[in-house]
Amino acid sequence: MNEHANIILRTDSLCKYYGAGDNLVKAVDCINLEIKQGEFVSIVGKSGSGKSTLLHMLGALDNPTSGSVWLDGENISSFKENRLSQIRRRKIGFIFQSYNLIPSLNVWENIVLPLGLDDQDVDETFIQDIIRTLGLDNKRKNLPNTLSGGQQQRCAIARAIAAKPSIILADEPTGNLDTKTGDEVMALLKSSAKKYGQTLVVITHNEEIAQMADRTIMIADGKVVG
Amino acid sequence: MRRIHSILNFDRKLYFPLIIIYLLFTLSTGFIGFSFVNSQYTQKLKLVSNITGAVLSKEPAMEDILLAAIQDTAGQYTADGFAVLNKYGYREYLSIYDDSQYRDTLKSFLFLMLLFFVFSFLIITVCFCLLDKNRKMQEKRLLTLLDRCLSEDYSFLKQRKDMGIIFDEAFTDTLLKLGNKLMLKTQALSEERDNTKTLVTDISHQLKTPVSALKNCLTMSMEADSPKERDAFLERCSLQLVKLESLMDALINISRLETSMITLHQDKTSLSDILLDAVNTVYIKALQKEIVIEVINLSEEQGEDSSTFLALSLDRKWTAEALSNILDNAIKYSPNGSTITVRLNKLYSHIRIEIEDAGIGIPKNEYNKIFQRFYRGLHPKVQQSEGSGVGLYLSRRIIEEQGGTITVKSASRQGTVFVIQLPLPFI
Amino acid sequence: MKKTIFGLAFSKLRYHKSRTLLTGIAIMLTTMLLMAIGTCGIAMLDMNRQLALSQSNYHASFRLTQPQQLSILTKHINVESLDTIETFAQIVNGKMNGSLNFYKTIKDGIYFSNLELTEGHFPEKEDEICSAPAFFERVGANPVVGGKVTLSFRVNGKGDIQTKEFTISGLLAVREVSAEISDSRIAWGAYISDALRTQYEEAGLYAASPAAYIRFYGEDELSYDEMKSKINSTASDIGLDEEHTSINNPYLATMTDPGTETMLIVAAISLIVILFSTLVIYSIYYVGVITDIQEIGKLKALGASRRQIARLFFCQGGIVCAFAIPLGLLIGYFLPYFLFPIVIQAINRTALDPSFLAFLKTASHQLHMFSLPFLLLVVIAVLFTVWVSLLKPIRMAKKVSPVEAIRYQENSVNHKNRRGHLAVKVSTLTWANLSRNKRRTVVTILTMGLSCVLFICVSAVLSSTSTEDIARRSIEKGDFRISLDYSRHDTEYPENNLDQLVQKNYFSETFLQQLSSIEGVASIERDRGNILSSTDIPSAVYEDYDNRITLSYFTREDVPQLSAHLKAGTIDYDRMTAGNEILCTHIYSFDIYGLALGDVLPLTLYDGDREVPLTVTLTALTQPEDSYSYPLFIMTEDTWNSLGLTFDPTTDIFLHVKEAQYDSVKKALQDIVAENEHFRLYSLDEEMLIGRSSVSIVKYPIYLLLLLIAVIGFMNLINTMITSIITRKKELGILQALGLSNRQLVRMLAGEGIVFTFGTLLISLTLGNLLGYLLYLYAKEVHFMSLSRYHYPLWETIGLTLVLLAGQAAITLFISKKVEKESLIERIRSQE
Repeated sequence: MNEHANIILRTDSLCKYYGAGDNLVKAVDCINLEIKQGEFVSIVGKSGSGKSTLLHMLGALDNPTSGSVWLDGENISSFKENRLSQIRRRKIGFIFQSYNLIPSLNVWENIVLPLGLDDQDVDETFIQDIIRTLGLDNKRKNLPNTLSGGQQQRCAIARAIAAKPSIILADEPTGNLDTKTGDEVMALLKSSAKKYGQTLVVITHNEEIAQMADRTIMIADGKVVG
Repeated sequence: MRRIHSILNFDRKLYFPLIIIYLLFTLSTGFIGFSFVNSQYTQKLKLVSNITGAVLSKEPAMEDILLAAIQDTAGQYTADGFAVLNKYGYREYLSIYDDSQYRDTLKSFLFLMLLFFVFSFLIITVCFCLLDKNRKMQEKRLLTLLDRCLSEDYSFLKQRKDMGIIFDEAFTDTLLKLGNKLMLKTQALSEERDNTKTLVTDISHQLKTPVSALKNCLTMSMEADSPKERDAFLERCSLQLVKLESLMDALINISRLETSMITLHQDKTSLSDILLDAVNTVYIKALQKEIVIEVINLSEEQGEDSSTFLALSLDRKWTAEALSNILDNAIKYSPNGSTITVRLNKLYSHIRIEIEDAGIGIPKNEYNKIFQRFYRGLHPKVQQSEGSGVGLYLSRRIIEEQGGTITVKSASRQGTVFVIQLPLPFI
Repeated sequence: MKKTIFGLAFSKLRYHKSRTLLTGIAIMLTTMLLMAIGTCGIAMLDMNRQLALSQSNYHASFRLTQPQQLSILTKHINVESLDTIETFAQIVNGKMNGSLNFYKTIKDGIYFSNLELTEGHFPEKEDEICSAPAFFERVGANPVVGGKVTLSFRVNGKGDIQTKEFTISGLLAVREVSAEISDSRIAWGAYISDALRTQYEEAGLYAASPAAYIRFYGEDELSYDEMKSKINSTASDIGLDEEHTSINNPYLATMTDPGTETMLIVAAISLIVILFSTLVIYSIYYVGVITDIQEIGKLKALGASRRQIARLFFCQGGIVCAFAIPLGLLIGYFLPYFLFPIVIQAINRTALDPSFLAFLKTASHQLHMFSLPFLLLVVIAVLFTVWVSLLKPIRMAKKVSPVEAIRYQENSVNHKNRRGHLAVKVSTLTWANLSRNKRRTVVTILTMGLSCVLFICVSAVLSSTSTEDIARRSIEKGDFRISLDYSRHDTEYPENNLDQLVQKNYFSETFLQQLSSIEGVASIERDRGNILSSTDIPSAVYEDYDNRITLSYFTREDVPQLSAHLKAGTIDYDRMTAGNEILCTHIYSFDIYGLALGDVLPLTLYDGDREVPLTVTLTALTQPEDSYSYPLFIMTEDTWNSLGLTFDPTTDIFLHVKEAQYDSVKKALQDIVAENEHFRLYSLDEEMLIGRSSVSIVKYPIYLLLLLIAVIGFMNLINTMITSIITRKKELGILQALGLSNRQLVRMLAGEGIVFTFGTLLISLTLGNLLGYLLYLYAKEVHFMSLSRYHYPLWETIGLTLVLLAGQAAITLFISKKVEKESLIERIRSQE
């Protein structure tokens, strides 16, 4: 029991199938994972290997065909949509390849958005600290489209951290960035996650990026291969 | 040019049909006009006969006067006649519209003209549509031809006859000339390419044999039993001893790091100090292999302020150790006389240090493993050389402990690039 | 290439299903509205024509004085058709006013509705007769063909009374006879044979003076004035002066009227409709281009030329039109085709014009509503609308450069920053999105707002046409009005003229006593009197009113009220008394009759059998709110009194009754009024009913029209909201990934909708009410529906608000249901 105590995310023969009959696609095929608190795990696989589908299910964005996802000891695959929204805004921080900032909100507003959605008060000193850590101090009032890719992704990182989630899920966070910026963003993501004690799961097909992780999980054809 | 030409080309073909249509229109306009004039004359004749009949049936004696009046072009009695007719509303200034009979005639004439107009409009439109379509088809054919040129299909050059049907003579000639020229050029190019290929293969074949011969010689000399050879062997042994010592050092460092016996003191220090320390450690080795270590500050080149370079918050000793491990590795696997490039680049929140060597390189599937403890690369040169598989692990631990990252990637030509990112203090 | 573009356009239409549908509906509605409005207009014109035709289709009648005139007419170049009717004899049968006539067709083509045979044939033998069944009933005979009837008559209206037995040879179409009209005022007519007429003529007992009923050539081509001059020149050709000619004005005016007025109204309404739909279709396409900009960029990157891009859009518009226009035409035609007669039937019940009533009763006429040129015009107008709406979006699309397009962000904001809020709530999201798409938001609110402004505006005017105001035009005061039903200058029946009637003193004190003795009558009031006048100098006013107009007076107490609405001149009671000055109370008449201040009119007033000369000067023009209670010219009370009238000039009396006994009083009054054919009773409840229905006849069609315009505006709102969802599909997905719950999503969307609604309401309530009031003032100025008091359109405003809120809620609900259906992953993945 004790060894499970610090396991934050666990999947139990998690499957996701699309189509039927001859067209059956096993996007995720019976995956068992355990991710410890504070760990930095990278999930590596080629495109189409099912890694994104896996991440979506880990992040309660998608329902598994079978199997379950346990987050903080709760089986989130059994939750209703409303509860899932709550889980998403409180326990999970998302970072996407295409940043996905809300274009009509400025940087600060984008960062505090998850708090707003959860009706939480904004802990200004904390957010300010994140913003400083990520070097967005003088961009607070900018609208996203005036920022460079790296800045946008840093903003997305800040947003993911802002609600102090237990786990941050990042889907190809450097995919749209050049190598230098990508490396820097990853370094920031890693150090921020470490600084605020968050578990980090990064999906990538880039092995250079994957090197930064504590542990790498290789996925091919919906299965864990190493 | 092409467009003008093709239009002229088609106009000629349509010249006769257009002339015929034009003639047809002129003739039918004339015919309609003629038939109306004619019908008016018939009507007038009828009217006069009617009047004559009506009057003469009552008053036969009037015949002479009546006929004189009919043939009288001067219109002697016109005024008198009008005076009578006036009573019935006939006026000299009446327009054609006021007489119901003539109005109908006029109406039917206008209707016919309208019909005629619509009809001719349609015909002309159809003609032009056909012309346009024809032109477009011609253009399409030309385009197909040019496309074939582009895709290097010159089969059309042999079908002169077919082309003659589509285009006119001079045009066909020019096209064929163009095609021929293009074909010749393409052929010349592909020949040149083939020549280069064979050249490269030949050269590599020539190189292979002497290299393997060199390798064989070396092995042979090592197995000899003379004292001279033994001296050499001893020398090798002492070398092994030194290697063992350095391995021991590395192991001690790791154990201390793992058991938190070393604490990293992040004090104000400068990157140049760290780099200097690191390079000093490996300087001798580099000198032995005649390897040049070149440091390039990209940020300075870009004219940026590099003052922050000097004020980092890092543990000077251990960071230098981490860097020197990497440099040591680089020197170890680099050929004599090569250059190791250290590029410094100040990013927004980190300093990026790239250490590039021209060594053996690391295969992709080992990227993750080289930072593992005691991992030794699978490459024969790595297997042969002394080393414990500890240095990189140590470097990583030191760097990550201080909020930095270290990754490895292949250099653009040959060798390996280590990328180290060290955090900058907050502004 | 063309095929490719067509295919591309088609697939784009299929892809943006909801947009295509909305554009289609908007175009369809536009077509439908234009078509329906026009079809109504055509039907209206046709109805007027049929109405004019329902009596007779002759253009003019000539009372011939010499026999040879007929022969000239027969051969005259202008004459298309010719009938003659001559009065053979006067029937002698008590007070009955009847004649034996002879009817003959010379040149075929004239139609008389009362000369249509329902049975039998026209008289041929000398003892045959035909007429309407009512005639035979009146003279006490059985109205059957072959029946016998004995009549006494005087040939040519003079000489000995002859009595003859006739055989009924045919029955004419039933003629509507209103029971209210007194016996002496109905002209009965029966038709006899040529044989009888010739018999008397040859015996020298009868001299014919026929009336010729003529149709002239050129009805379709010539204007009214041209036809009139043609008629007059023909008359002068045969030596007749204008006195002997009479033009069938109702028919000729209708037939020669090209319907300009109706067409203008149709055009004006159509223009408004086109304006709105242009705005709406434009904004749908505009939003479409903005959302499609990346796709356009891709096309351009693939080598599409500017012309091809333009063609792509025109193609899309064309395809939608190809479906929407025919549908719109069909609905737009058949809606009025079925509804117009129903509306007319509804009007029928309240119609005041008896001939109209008769027309509707007798004729289940099929109205001619279809016009191919008009249909083509509608098609062209709609295509033009779509074309104009497409121009700007296409220009935008053309300008898109491939690179720009691919990285185009919908919010090409000029400003870099946003002040923002410290904390973000759902409402912050709403506002942020709206302000990002400021232009779209504004255009949407404006389109919706304008149609609502139009609604409020028009309802301000319509609600000001209160029923009571209309009713009060008939009954100024009290609950009942008994009015003297008089003619001004009836030469045939002079006993009906006012100067004759006043001598009878119908409104005597005894009569008033009798009325006030009815249980429940509270008080009786005499209206100010009216007196007939004629003038010696030519005057357009007098000509139009049978050369007699009535005059009345105003008191010193009326001066302030009259002065308040003074338009020209001055009102000084004493000066006016001293100078025999009069004032004009109708601006409209003042203008059309070309009156001017300072006009001097030498008048003759008819005080019963006495004639009083009076020369007056026109010195003021005013139009008080109750101008309908005054005749055109009024003098001062003192001038009036100085005339020394011998007969009581009262023409109207008002009765106030106790509410409880209203019905019983009404019944009693009806009985009293029925006794005297010259009395006419107006009761408040009936007038209210008439008022109500005449208001609603105008009101509901207009409201329907406005509603449809509003629906077109609504299309835009729906499009804006749906587009805003589609383009933000991904964004919404992200928000949900960040933890936005479905309820919060609905709240966010509803927030956006509410901003639209309140924006619209704000515009319509401020601008709408302001413009509404101005429109009211204008309408009052031009006497539209005789508005007199401004009523705030409270119920309409509340209704509008509710409808807007409900519609908004429905859209939000529908959209959020749609959003919820789609899976989250799909949305996050979707590339715009």
